[in-house]
Amino acid sequence: MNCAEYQGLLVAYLEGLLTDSQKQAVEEHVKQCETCRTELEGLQTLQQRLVGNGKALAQSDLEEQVMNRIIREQSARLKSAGQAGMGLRLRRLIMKSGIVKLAVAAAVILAAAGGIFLWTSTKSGVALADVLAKMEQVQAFIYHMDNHMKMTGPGAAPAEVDVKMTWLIADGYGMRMDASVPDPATGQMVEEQTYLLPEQKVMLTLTPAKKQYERMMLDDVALQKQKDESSDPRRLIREMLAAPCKDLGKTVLDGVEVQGFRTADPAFTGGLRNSDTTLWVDVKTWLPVRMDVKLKVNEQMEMRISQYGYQWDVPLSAAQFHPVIPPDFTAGVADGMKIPAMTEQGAIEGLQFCIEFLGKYPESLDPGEMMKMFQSLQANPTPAMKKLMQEAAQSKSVEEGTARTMKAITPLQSLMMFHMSLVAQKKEPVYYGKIAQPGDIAQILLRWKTGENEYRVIFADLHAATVDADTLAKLEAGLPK
Amino acid sequence: MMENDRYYVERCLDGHPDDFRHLVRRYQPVLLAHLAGKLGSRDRAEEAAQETLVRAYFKMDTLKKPESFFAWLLGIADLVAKEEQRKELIRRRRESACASVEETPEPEFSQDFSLEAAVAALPEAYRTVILLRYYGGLSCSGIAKQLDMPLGTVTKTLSRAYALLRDSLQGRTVSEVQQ
Repeated sequence: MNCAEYQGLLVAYLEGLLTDSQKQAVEEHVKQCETCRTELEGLQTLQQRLVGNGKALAQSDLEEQVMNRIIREQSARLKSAGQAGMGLRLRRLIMKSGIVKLAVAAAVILAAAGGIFLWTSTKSGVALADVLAKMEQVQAFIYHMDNHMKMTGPGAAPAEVDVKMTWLIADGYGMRMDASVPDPATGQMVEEQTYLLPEQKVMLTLTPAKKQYERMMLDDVALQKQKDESSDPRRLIREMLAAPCKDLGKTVLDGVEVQGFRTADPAFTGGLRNSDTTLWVDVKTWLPVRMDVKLKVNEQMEMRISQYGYQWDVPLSAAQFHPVIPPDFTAGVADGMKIPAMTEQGAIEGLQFCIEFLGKYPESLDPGEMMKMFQSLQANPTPAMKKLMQEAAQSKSVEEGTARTMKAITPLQSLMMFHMSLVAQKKEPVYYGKIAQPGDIAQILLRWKTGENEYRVIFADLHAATVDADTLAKLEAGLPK
Repeated sequence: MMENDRYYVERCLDGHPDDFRHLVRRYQPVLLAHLAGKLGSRDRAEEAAQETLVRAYFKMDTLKKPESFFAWLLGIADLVAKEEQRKELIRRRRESACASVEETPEPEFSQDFSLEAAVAALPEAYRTVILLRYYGGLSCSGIAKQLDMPLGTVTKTLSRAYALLRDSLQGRTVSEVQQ
């Protein structure tokens, strides 16, 4: 090797990247050659100078100053969200949060729709029936519920959402939920109180930190469901009884002797196949101590719901269930939104939504599949979807963007939840979205059982009719199952 | 464990603003070196670095490729530096217009201003490698990974950057001697 070649190796030598034999050769050569030695020393001097300067600059600490400035500006920008220039707009979250709420709705509804009392037919039915009997004597109770959701997209960082809730339920008064939910814009936890007001057919949410209120309109079906189902543990126990469940035997939990029951029945979760529910009951009082639901909606979304800290027969006053909206509170962007209608009409509107946004019927009504479909639609949007995404992105605030998306996809939620309720009620729903052509007046699209020898059918042109078993058989003759 | 830039960018976009601090920590020396060379004062470099990071945070939703966060950040820093330089120019003009010859304050040079200026004057490809190696704390293979180039190219670029730096520093020394 000549000097030029040796000099070409000097940087690699200084970086310790040479093989032992190369390294030795360089060292030998530098000993003998003054030019190359001078070159090496020159490089070392420069390196030391750079290292020294780098160290000096690393001593400055901008971290706290930058983070404080970001927090200050973030809140200032959020306050003046009506004006141009907002906080960091969480575009991905805006689009996702429709799905997040979809999933929350699915989770709330998962236990909601059952209602058929089959407990006598289950093996452990006798013991569980005791639990239920005890619970129905309880007048007012409180419990805690933690909802943890984890979403992963291809190549994206996992997003996790934690919601902590305390439920107050009193037979005579109604329902109230105090929740701590992460603000989509800042990630900070925000306190909310939600009241179910049956007379006004409204669900009211107060957010004191934002001096804001939001009312969600309930229709009669939704009202009934919200009122006596959703997060009422008594309801969950009925659901549990309706499903084939396993007796886990006795153990001790938080110092209390408990007996466990477990089910993975998809009907329990409205057709979600990957679910696992465990319920622990105090063997002395036969009241629930803890309940855990694990749900895998699809490969991208998992949920964990825990209920615990039950307090039975607590004195609750009527005032706790009657909200007062302080005069300086203003309506939030979601104010006036409708809760998705879990009715046949709601389902038909959902199917119409699919034609508009997909150009066809979805292949499956499984929530996981529907979510995937909606996500792929975001990557490769149809004109209707593009419009929706643009509107959300142009919103004045994160909340407004979320509210717009939510409002737009309400029919889709109705469809999904209606189908889940049919599964949970074991009404034998069958859906033919894979083969149905929009507009076909004779093609069956969705059917379910409504009585002995009686079925309800939604056709591909979206009219609905009640038919008997023979007619249904003719309609389905020749169709793939 | 340290995650890559993409991870933290997406965490921020998913509503975890606090994770931005990892990016601040990772790039503050690089930014300071980059800006000190351009602005000639440690204080001004710190101010400009702060401004750059805050702007970057609020613009993050416009970042198309989260993995090229660093290059994008330097782009913002260049913009901030240009604005600063213009402000400085206006200030100087105003001062010289007001003949009340106030002594122009000595520019407060950071420790090794000639080195920082020489780094700032490097063509971009060389500057990036020097910044990452000495101010971003990356090894050569780390740089190869971050810039997606072969290791051999990194050492060659580094070698050329040293040569340019030494030329520039020697030139400066000569002119300093002449003064």
